[in-house]
Amino acid sequence: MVQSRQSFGAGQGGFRQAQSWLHTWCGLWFSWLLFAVFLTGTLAVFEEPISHWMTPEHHADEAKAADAQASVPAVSLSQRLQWGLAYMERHHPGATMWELWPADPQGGGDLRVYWFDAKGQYAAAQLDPLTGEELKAQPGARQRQTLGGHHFVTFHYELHAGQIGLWIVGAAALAMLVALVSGVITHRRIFKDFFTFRPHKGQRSWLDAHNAVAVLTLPFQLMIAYTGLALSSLTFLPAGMVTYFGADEAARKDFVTRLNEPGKPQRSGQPMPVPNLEPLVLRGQKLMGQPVRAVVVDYPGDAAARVGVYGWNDAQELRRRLSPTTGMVMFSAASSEVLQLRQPGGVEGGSPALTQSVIGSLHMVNSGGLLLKWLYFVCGMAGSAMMATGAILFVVKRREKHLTEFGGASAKVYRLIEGLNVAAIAGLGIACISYLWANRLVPLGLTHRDDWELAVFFVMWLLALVHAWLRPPALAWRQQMALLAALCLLLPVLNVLTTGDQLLAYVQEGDWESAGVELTVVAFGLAAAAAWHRMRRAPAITVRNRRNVTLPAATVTVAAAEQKGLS
Amino acid sequence: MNVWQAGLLATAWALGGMTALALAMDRHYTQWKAADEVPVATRRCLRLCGAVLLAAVWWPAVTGWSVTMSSIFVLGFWSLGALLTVAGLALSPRWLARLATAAASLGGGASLWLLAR
Repeated sequence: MVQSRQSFGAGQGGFRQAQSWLHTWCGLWFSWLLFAVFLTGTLAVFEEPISHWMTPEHHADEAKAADAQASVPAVSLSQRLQWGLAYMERHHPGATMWELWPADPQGGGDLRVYWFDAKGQYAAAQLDPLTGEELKAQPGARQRQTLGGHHFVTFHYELHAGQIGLWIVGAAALAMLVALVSGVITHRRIFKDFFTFRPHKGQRSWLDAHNAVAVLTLPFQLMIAYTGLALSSLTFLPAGMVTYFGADEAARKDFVTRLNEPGKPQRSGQPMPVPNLEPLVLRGQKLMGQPVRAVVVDYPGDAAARVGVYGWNDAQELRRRLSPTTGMVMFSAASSEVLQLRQPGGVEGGSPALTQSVIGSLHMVNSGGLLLKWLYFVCGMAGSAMMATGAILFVVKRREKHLTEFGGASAKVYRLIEGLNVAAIAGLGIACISYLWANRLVPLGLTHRDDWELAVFFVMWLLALVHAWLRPPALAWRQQMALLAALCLLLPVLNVLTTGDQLLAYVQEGDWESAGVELTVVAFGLAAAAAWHRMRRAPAITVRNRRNVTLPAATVTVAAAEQKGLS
Repeated sequence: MNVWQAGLLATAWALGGMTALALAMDRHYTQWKAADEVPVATRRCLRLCGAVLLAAVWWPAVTGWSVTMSSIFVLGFWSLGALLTVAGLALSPRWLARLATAAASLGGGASLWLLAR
């Protein structure tokens, strides 16, 4: 959005003008959705800390578990494996897969078991690591049922709408790549303006900001859009899979099995008890050089059964490599022979599989550690700012110089776009912070409590849209920014009132996940308050600029309404 | 060098490098000094310093993480340094120049100390 155009349509003007047209319209129509995808995707970088903050009841459990672990004698890995196996033999003898998570990397921690139930669904149970008995949820225990930070992950790639959502976000990601490339071509003085940001200059400032955040983080923006698309390449480009495997559900299942579980045997029908797992686990640990994380038994009770031993990645080591896979050793249950060996970071399936693993890791920032997550967060916020400033620039440009791109309906369409801008940018911020408020305010024990939290997110967003269209744009901006600031700045207060947890106490206890969430929210609150403060002074500039141009009647009415609302 | 030392050093040098490159441009030099254009020698010196500092970001990226991960970190720190430079130029070019010089030199001193240990 660098050049203002007098003529319209991609076909008119030169190549650069055609790219400018493409950038403007492709960018505009997708900017609201892309902003939502980017902002929630950026928050999803810190999925775990957000989930941690949203489940305060677990903090006490975690502390208690840590104390208990320190004060009681450790139970051996061998005993844990035996308990896990005994539980599965007693309760789920017919399951097609058993999965035991015997211990954490230090040999302590939880003892968990998973299996595929009769419907083929993944099911789980937790066993007491001191007795091997199943731990049932205590009656009367109040659990805070929540999607936690995972809401932002799911929303940013499928909008909570399954396959349809995935396709919509995919289309948006493709549009983003188009907008990025056309934007670079359009940006005539990309090197000259590299570090340029001229504040307090109206449209020029918005353009500078849009260019700066985009150009300076361009490698990240290209990478994240491309890897996001490539992650779901099987959905978007299914032709190869369909050609070789077929189009029905069974074919897809077959493909996924061959991709993820190569060499999986067929059930033989000959019964054979599951062997003692400990010798296999000890051999597996030695071969892959990692402590055991999971033991997976395919077809337990059958002679064709196989036992996979998976390792724990070492956090230090994971920081240093791009492929986040763990070590794995697959044994034949009958002969104890090694069927497959995967070293940490390796993949089955050669370079294409490794490429896919790395693409996934690059997008989801699975390796590199905390500092890389913060770099992603900063670049992700810059990307969100790129969409927001682009969308705002579109309107600001047309406020100062009215273009008749939609004929007689231009003023109405611009008004619609401006309303969408307010709701998509400030409104989404309100929806996100309201989701955290809902976590503390929706009563515990409510059926489908997590859905209520989600409902608050969507309802607040919808209300923001209605508000943005009912109020004059400048007033809508100001009011929504004020609400956003208030909700962010008051979140720590709400937390004290509802759970008794304090920001300072988090810091003192070294709970940096919770403290980080609240400090970041407060920082956003301060930024929103500063934006609100600026907006209170901004109308004077807008009005002064308006005096110099001839506006159609409809715009004058909107401007007058704005002034009325603002006075 | 641990991760946090590497991160601080990379940020300091990326900021120093990007600021030097920015101030080597007439448009930003005039924001810093009362002059219409950058003297030729100063421009060369700033560009050389900028390039060297940006290239030097590879060192903490490789030492703090690994050769494999370093390109991702270098691009990330360059972006961070450039964003800080733009913000600094808008707020106060003079203070940005001071901060960038201090960050780059302190980074250099700290890395010499780390190497000598």
